[in-house]
Amino acid sequence: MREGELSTSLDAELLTHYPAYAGDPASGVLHSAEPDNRILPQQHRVHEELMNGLHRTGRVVVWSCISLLGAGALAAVALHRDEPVNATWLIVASVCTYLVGYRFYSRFVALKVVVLDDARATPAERIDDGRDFVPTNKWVVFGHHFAAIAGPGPLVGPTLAAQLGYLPGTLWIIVGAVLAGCVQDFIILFASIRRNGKSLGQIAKEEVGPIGGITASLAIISILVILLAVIALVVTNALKASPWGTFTLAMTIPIAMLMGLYLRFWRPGKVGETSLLGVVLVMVSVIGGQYVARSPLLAPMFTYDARQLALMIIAYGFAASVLPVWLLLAPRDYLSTFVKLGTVFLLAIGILFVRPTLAMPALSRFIDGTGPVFAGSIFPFAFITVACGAISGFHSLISSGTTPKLIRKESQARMVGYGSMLLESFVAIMAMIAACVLQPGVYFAINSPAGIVGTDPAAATAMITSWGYPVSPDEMQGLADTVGEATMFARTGGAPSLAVGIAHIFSGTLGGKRLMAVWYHFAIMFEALFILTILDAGSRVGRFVLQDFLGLIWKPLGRTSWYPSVLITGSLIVAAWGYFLYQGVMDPLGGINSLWPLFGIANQLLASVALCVATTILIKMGKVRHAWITLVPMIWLVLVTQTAAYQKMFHRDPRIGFLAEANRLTGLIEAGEVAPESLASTQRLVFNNQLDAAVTALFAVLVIVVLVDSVRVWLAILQGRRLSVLQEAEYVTSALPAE
Amino acid sequence: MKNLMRWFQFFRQVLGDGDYDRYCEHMKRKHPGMKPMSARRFYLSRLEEKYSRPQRCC
Repeated sequence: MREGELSTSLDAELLTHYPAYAGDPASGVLHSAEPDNRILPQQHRVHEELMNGLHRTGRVVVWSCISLLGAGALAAVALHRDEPVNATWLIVASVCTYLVGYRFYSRFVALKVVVLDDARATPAERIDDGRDFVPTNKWVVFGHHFAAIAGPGPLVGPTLAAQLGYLPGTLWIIVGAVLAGCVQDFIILFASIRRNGKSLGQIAKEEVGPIGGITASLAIISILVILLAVIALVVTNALKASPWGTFTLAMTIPIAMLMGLYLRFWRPGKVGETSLLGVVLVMVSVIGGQYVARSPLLAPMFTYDARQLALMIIAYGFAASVLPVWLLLAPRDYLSTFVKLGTVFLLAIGILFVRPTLAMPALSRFIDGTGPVFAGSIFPFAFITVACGAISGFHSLISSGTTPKLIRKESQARMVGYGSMLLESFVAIMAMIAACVLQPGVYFAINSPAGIVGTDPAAATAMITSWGYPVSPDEMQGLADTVGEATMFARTGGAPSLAVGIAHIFSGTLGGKRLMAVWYHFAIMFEALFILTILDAGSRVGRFVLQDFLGLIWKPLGRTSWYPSVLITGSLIVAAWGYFLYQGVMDPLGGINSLWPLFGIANQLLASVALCVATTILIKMGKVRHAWITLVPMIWLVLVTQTAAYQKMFHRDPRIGFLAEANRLTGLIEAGEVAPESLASTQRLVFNNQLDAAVTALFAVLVIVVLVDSVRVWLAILQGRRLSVLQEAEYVTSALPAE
Repeated sequence: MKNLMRWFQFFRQVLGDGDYDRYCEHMKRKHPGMKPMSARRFYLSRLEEKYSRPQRCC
């Protein structure tokens, strides 16, 4: 059904409020503020209203059905108790909510709040330089944008949040995306389109003030460091003592380099054929990995413990961030995008075919905050943990990056900005399903760190069973054998349990149990591949932002082509995330417990900054009455991040509060209860916990600074003490026909 | 067959395979006097531009 056929009463309402509403109803856009187009031919208008009347009944019926179905499925998901729920309910609940959210809420935002205007030329049309600014087909932009925003966050976050049961995470993924995440992506994209594709930092500086601008840059660097550390930790934990996985991932490096050479020397820019070649080679190495793992000669060459892997990843990150992009980063990016989109698509098909039953209860016993995966209660930690599936501040950087320079018509910002985030949220729902199809006992055995359940299989399973989630050592050994690993105990970080879930779903459609091991390692490769890509790309971007910053202090440091500066800033960034990675690896509780919440806080901090900027823009546009659409999500995020930050610093439970843990360890040292050989490492743990507390404090302060600065601007405008001047690019009438 | 071609063109565009052709056409249309960059130089300059800002997300 075409969207254009689905206009509702909103059209009629618009016709009364805005005589200029001449737009094609498909785009949901007020067509013009230009005087010439203001008056609609009377006949056309009457016809339009007549058609509206005729089609209205049908549309009302269809959308009522979708809404009812969605509400019913949500109720079923939320109120189902005692017997297992089928994953189909989650799919129906989420898809119906997305449809209703897109059809009504995003349309409301597009028409009434930001008032997208297709008669206004976009930067792609005005600047059209054949390189950066190019009017592009909307589906192509959608593809680019989705590929850019979809990362490991929406896969790992829900997997970790599954410890609370499927319900808290699922509800936040659905509601958070529709009301907060999509709105942020959409409005920042819109704001950047109106400002020639400027970045979030520049927009913040121009619309809020210099403080907002600097804070945004600081926030970007700190979020990058923590993000890179935590995803590197996820890879480390997934490859630990796994020759098959390590071999496959190691092979992607020469494969990417081969692709890089091919693209550079033989067939410049022929990305399609090169990626196809790369994917085939990667599949061969996934399948070939099992022979490496079985070979007594080769297996030891690819078997490493977490510490060794961490050091190798740090070395790799440094090399990759200073090597030319064409050699490693770009081809690996093509490869991982190909594999990522393919896997997400396959996973959707797999879930629809298998229609698995969720073994995890709606709410687990760990809603009390004592869970082994991460400590802390539903509020605020469920919201911090889910991360990118509901709202991700990082998206605002993409929405104000390449995408706005490709948009052909303003109305397409709705589909690209709001729509892509809905799809990302759906990926998070699929990850939640993949995590919850595992038996809870198995899920907890994989995801509980040795620091909590111990290293002895019998003792660990006994403890997990005593929580009410039965599992046996034989079951775990059987699982390890099926997926071709030595052990599946304490494989923290989310990636292994997600891979088991994905393998479970895939092998239900293709190949059965026999291929389970291949699917498992395919899933591990898929996650590790694009995590490494983000390590490269993130270290590089971090280097540029840092050089920008240091250039203010000493000019030559800011020159991105000056090699000494490249080496210095490159190593600074890699050393920063490398330190947190190493700290996470050495952490007896597995590191995820401390680093993932830090990452969640940092990411939502950036989202608060973005929503602050968005609210400022709405107020300046004279839309005070509608400013709640960004203000309410912002207030919620500030509450969540501030509570989480406070608890991570000062909570009395040492598993939650960094300072409490530092004090507990200091107490142990002072009481002489620490063995002399582990004294140094314990002192380092004390320092690391204090450092984590300091980083958390920095995040909390950054949010408050931006918030106070913005509120100051809002009040000044509302009280008329300050002229409300929007820094939009000039209005040029569009000459491009609609697509 | 026509649909198949359309899908093929769509994927080519998403991947960026057609970027250089589009750039050449742009140069011919807007700057007829100037000589466009070679395919290789164009590709490398695009990469530098692309990876100097956040391009992949968490």
